[in-house]
Amino acid sequence: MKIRRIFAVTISAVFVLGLLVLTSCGEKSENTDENGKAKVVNIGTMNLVNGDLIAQYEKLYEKELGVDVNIVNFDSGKDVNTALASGSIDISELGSSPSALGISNNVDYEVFWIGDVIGSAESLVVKNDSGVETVADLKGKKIGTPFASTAHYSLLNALKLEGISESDVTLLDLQPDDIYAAWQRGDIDAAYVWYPVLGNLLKDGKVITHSEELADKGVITANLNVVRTEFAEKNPDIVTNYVKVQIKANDILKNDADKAADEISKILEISKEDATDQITQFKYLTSDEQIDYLSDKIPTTLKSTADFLVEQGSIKTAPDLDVFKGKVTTKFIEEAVK
Amino acid sequence: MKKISTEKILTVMTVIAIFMVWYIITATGLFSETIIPSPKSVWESFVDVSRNGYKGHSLLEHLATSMKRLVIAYLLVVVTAVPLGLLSGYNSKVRAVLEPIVEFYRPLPPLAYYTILVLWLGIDESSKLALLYLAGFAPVYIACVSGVIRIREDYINGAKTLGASKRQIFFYVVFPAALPDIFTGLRTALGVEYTTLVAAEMVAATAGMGWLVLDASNYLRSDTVFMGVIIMGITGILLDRIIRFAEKKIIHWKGRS
Repeated sequence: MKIRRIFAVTISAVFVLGLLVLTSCGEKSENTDENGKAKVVNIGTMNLVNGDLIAQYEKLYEKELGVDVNIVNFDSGKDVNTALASGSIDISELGSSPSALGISNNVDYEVFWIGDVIGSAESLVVKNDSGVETVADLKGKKIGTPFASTAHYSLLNALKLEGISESDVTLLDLQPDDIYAAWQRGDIDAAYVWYPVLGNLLKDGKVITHSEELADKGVITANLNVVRTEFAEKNPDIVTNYVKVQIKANDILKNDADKAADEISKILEISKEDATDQITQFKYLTSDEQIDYLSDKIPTTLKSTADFLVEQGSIKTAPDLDVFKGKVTTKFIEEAVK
Repeated sequence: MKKISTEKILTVMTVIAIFMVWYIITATGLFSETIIPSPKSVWESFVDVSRNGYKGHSLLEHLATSMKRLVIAYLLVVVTAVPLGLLSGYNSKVRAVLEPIVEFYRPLPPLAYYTILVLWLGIDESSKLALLYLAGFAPVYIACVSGVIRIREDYINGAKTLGASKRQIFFYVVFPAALPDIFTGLRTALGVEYTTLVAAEMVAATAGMGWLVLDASNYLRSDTVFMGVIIMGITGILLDRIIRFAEKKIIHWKGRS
């Protein structure tokens, strides 16, 4: 009798838990119509200095996508990956390193646009009085960078290119704000980081290498725009329109730098000079260049980033180059420029 | 059969049920490994990390690093919060000075003031210890204060009439009478410190269980995250058991008065 009651309790507990899981899955269906088409698109942004900011400022998403738009802010590519994996957002920008991570971990999304190729906007800076002049001098120094970011990847490659092994330096996982704190206290000698913290460090620091230099040596880092595969299959029009918005925004960035700087400075609440300066530190690609990069350089970059992460012991295995090629598509750009 | 065994069976059944649900959910293949890793891959991750370590440190080193931080901060709490708490309970003037400070910072989320601690103390061990210390201090202090206040007046009056000095009253009446409350505070403090561990290892740590979980989540290694969380859960229970054991030994009279 007693055993039977315990059994009943256990079984009902199992059912309750199961129901909870199922209902939490069902939640999403409210946002689609009877044909499975989205009524709302959830766009992730990291407020990176590229076309996305212009599109946000000019409300291009709301005007051009043809559905309701919900914009979600993220601080790190890690959180973007998590949000994409859980289906909370449909489209987002994120760095090439977190993208490689996401794809290697079977988060089902594809790369369809390159927001920017990172130039000197991410730099390795050292304190003016540290006595460090080149990357080779970094031996025995403490370097801060946000782990799993594009800057982390660039830093490790910069060291590797100089033949410095990771055990020759102390690497510290610090978020940008903490880098600033640690820098001011003198806890770190160098940092590989991006704006706005980079700007603060440059007040008493100097750049010894940056991502554009590394790109010339074959270590490319970029900010990519990705879409959940399931969403793209059901709503190709929205993705194509999203690309059209990016093309329009890129035109402003390339041809009317003054207007672009003005809009970016307002949305990021920085000075116009800073915005103008930052725009020059990224490379924005034309549609033709996009197709060129997406068919070759980007899959290769993703593959070598993933291989690197395996070497680091951060992920178990890296998929083949063909897998990455399959996760990068030029389809939507081709459709958009038609 | 004794009555207690029913509860034991229920506990065991609950654990089994959770594992069953976990297994069934992952076996359906409805969710990717990133969202819910299967029990098998979590186990494999455990075997892998125990054999090869995680990012330059063995599993035991990670655990030991965290435990060292936890124990040092905890000992600091014990030697400061207990006397200050008892004193505050005994002397209303001391209480008037200390209580507002504790009341102010106690409800603050640790991450809110962690950046300030990092600015003041740097990115090394001291800021981590300070965060854990502050987290553990408040519950012990508050438990000690209320433990002393709750002591029945006639205990103290009785001792007074027998000619005990203030000092004697404190050590022979107040302290033992407050012990059950002190232990409740100590147990709570350990729990709170433990929950703060991940936050404390967020900034510039290179080892520790909290850091392991955070770093693995950076790389979407859900299997390792699950493994880390389970290990932390089990060690949390073990630590609590240790304190309960000490409590039983020291206040053997509890529940018999």
